[in-house]
Amino acid sequence: MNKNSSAGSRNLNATVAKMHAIYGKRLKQEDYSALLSCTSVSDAAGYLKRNTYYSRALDGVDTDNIHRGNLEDILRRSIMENYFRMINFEKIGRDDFYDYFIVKTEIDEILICILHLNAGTGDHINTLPIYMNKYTSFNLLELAKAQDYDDLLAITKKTPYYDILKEFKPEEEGGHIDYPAIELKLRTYYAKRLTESVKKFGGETEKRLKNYIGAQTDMINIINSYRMKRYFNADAAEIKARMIPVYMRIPEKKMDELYSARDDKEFLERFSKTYYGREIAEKGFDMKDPEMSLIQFRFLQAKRAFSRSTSAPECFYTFNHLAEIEVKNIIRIIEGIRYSLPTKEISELIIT
Amino acid sequence: MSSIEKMMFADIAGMDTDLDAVLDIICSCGCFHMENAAAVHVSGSKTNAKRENPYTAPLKMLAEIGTLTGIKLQKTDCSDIPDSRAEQLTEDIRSIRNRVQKLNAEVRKASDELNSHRMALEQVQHLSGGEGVGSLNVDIEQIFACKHIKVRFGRLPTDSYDKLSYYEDKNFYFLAYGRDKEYVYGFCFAPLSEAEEIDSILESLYFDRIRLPDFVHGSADDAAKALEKNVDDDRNDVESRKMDLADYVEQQRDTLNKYFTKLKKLHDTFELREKVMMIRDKFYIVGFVPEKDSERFKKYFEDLKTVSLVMKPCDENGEIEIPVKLKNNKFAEPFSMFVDLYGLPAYNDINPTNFVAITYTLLFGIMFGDLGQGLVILLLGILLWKWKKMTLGRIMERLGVSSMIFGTLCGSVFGYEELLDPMYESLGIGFLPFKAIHSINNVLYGAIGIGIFIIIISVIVNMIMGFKEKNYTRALFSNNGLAGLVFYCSLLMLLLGGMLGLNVGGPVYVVCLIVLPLIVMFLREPLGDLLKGKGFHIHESVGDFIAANFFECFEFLLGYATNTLSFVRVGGFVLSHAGMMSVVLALANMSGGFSPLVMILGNLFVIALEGLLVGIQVLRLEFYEMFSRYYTGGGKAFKPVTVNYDEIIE
Repeated sequence: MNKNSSAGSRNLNATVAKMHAIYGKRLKQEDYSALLSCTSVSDAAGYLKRNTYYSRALDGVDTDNIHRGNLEDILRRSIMENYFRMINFEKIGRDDFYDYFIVKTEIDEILICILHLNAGTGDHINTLPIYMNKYTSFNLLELAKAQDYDDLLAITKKTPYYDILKEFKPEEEGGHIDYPAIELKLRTYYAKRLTESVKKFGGETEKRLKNYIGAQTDMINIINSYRMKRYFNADAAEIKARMIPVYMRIPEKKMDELYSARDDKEFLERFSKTYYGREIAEKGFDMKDPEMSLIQFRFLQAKRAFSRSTSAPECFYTFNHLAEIEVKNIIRIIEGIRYSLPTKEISELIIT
Repeated sequence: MSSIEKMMFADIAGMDTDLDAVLDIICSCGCFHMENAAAVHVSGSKTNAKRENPYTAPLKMLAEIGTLTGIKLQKTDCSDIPDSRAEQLTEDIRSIRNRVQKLNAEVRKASDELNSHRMALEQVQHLSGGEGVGSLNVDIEQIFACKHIKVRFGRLPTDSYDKLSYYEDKNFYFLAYGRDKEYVYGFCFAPLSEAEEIDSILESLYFDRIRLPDFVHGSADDAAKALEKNVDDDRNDVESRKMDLADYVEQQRDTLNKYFTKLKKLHDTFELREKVMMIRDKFYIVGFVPEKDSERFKKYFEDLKTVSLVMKPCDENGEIEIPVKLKNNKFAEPFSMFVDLYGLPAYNDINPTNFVAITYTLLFGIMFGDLGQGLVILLLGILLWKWKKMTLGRIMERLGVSSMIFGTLCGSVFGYEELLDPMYESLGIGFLPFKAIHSINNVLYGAIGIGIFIIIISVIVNMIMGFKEKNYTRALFSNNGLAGLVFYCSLLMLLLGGMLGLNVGGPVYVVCLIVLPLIVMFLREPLGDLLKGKGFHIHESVGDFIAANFFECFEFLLGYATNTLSFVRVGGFVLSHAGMMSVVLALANMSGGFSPLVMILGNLFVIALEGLLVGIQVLRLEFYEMFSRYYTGGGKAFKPVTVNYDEIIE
C-alpha cells in the first residue's frame, strides 16, 4: 500500500464541509417516490441523470438504451469516484485507514474468485470492478483469469493476503477450498486492521470510530449467526467458529448465549435483551425481521454519526457507508422495476 | 409572552353505521387533532377499524396517468360528483388510463424508432470521419456481406472495453474506431462458426449492438445522408404523437382533477380508520379540539343520533401528550417559524414567540440600521410574501421597518451618514446620539447593556416558569433562577462601580450578594429537595458531588461572562455596517467622478451579505443566549386532520 502522507493529525475541515455539501444532495423521499413510479430501467436512469446528484456519474451515458447491469456498475463506480474525490480534495493521501475501501474491495474479489474456483465457473469477469484495478495491490483482471488455487496464490504473492491464503491451500490439486474458513480469516483481518488503523487519530475520534466499527462487526455477527440458527439450526460451537472474534457492545459471554439458543425463536428472545435488541425495539423496528432491523439501525447510526461529527476520519467512514446504502437502494429499485415487482414490495427494501 | 391555545379533549363514540359520516366531519372541520383511540380506551375485545382502502387502486391509476403524461393533478370543485358515484369513477379512470397508456406506447414506439436511427447515424458518422481509425471509405453493405465472418457494429461501455483482454484466447477482434467518456465504438469481427459464443460474451459486456436499417447502402457518407433524412422524419413523427397525447390529456384535465379531488378526500378519510377503535359494532375516536372551536365542533354532530360526543378539559386526560397550537398576535405570528425550528413548547409551558419577535426585530434594527436599505428589505419581504407566500417575507417586512427606524435615528441612508442631518437641524436637533461612526465606545457599551437587559429578562422568565411548575430548584437555586440573578446583578454593580470610581461593595456585600448565591447554586439540588420536603440529601458520593458541582459552577461563571460579552457583536455589526458602506462610497468615488453603478452594486452586496449575517447572528443570540436560559421546547404540534392534495398517493 502507498503511504504518501499521514492525514492523522491534519486539519481537514474543508473535506468535512465538502462531504456535508455532497450529503445535502443525497436522494430525498420524493426522489425515491419518483424512482419507484418509473416503469422502465431507462426511465429510472433518465430520472437519476436529470434530477439528482448522479447526473455527474451518468454524464455521457445514453440512459435511453442503458442495460440494467451497466447502470448498476456505473452507480457502484460512483461510490469509488466519490471516495477518491474526497481523498484528493485536500490531498489526504492513502494510509492504513483511508485505504479501507480498497482493502474491502480486494477481500470481496478474492472471496468471489474462490467461489468461482469451487463452482468451476469462469464468469467472475462480469462482476469485476475493473475501475478499481489501478488502486488494488494485485491485478484484478489476472484474478478473474485464475484457474486454480495456485494461480490465486501467485497473484496475491506480494500482498498481506498471501499468508492467510496459503494456510488453506487444498491438499490435492483442484481440491475443494474451505471458503467459510478463508472468509472468516479475511474478514477478521479486515476488522482488526481497520480498528488498528484508527489508533493514530487518538481522543474522541479514535473512540467513536472504534465504537462504530466494532458495532458494525457485532451486527454482522448477529445477522450471520441468526441465519445459521434459523436456516441450518447450527449448534453453538459451529456458529462461533464462523464468527469474527471481535466484540463491542455485546460481550463474548452474551454472544455465546445467543449462539447456544435452542432455535431461532429463543435466539430472538435472547437478542431482544441485548443492547441492539433494546435499541431496535425502542426505535420501533420490527423484531420479527432482525436482519432488516439491524441494517436500518446501522443506517441510523451512520446518519447520526455523520451529522454530528466534525472529525474528518469519522465523517469519511460514515459518509461512504451512507453512499453505499443509497446506491444499494437505487439498485434494489432498478431490479424491482426490471422484474416488475409491486412498488410496495420494493419500497419495503429501501432504507431511508 | 403570548400564550398557547387551550385545548379540549374530544371523545366520540357511536354505531359503525355512522363511522363514515363522523370521519367525514373530522376531516372537513379543520380543527380536530386525531389520536389513536386504542391508547385511551382499555378493553380486551377491541379491534382496529382499518380495512383495505378501496380508493387506493383508482388513485394509483391517477398517479400512473400523472407519471405517463407529466401533468400535476390539483384540487378543484367536485361538488357535482355524489359519493354514490365513487365506484363508477374507478371505471372512468381505468378507461382514461388505458387510452393514455396506448397513446404513450405509440410515443415510445416512435421514440425507439428515432433512437435506433439516431444511434445508427452516430455510428455511421463515426465511420465517416470520427476519432480512432478515422474515415473508412468502404461500402457498408460489403462489410456485412462477408460469408465467413460475422460483423457486429455498436459500442461497449469503457469499463467493459477494459475487460476485453480477459478474452484474448477467444477468436474475435474488436476494432475500435472512436470513444467518448462512457463508450468505445467499434466493429466486432468473429468467425461464423463461433458467432453465437461471441455474441453471448458481448452481451455480458453490455455491448449495444446497432443495427443498420436495410435502406443503408454505399459508403459511410452515403449512409449518413440517408439516415439523416430518416431521423428528421422520425423526429416529426414523435412530435406529432406527443401532441396527440398532450391534446387528449388537456381534454381530460378538468375531469381528472375532479376525480382526483373526490377520491383523495374519500381515500384520506378512509385512512383515518387506522386510529379508530372498534368494540363489536361500536366505534371510538379520540382527539383534541381548540377550546375556541369546541362549540362549532359540537354542532357538526347534532344530527347524528347514534353518536355521542364528550368534550372535557385536557387536564382530565393523562394518557396522551396534549398537542400545542401557538396563539400569536399579528406582529409576532411569522416569528413562530423560529420557535418551530427550535422545538415547540410543551402544553403547560410558555410561548416565547412574542419575546422572540420583539428582541429579534429590535436587535436586527440596531445591527442593520439604514433607512434606505431597510426600505429595500421591506419591499423584498412584501414581494416574497405576495408572490411566493414565504413566511420569511413577512419576517423581512418587520425587520425592514425596524431597520428603517434605527437608520433614521442613526442618520444612515444607503451608506450616507450625513444625508438626514439637514432634516434634524431643521427640527432643532444638533447631533444624533446614535451616530455609530462617531461614538464607537458608546456603541459597544450600549450593546453590552442591551445584552445584560436581555439576559436579566430571560432569567426572570425562567423563574416565573419555575414557580409555575413548582420547580423550586429552577426558580430559586439554579444559575437561571433567583440565586443566579442576584449573583449576576451584584457582580455587574461591583464592576460598574469600579469603572465609575464609585464605592460599591465591601465584605458584607461580597459575602451576602456574591458568595452566598454561589453557594446556593452549588447546593441547588439538595436545597430543591429540602423545599419539597424530601430532606437535604446528596444522591451521589460527596466527592463526586463536589467535583461535579465545582465544574458546573465554574461553567456558570464562564457562561455569565461569555453570554454578556457575546452581545458585543450587536455593536460590532453596527460598526461593520458603517465601515462597509464607507468602503462602498470610497469605491464609488474612486474612478474620478461618482459611479452610481458601483453605489447600487455595493448597496446590494451589503444588503445581501450583511443582512444574512445579521439575521443569523440574531438567531444565534435568540437560541443560544436567551432560549438556553428559560426554554426547553419538545412539545408536540397540533396537526388538524386534513386531506393532503399535494401528493396523489403516499
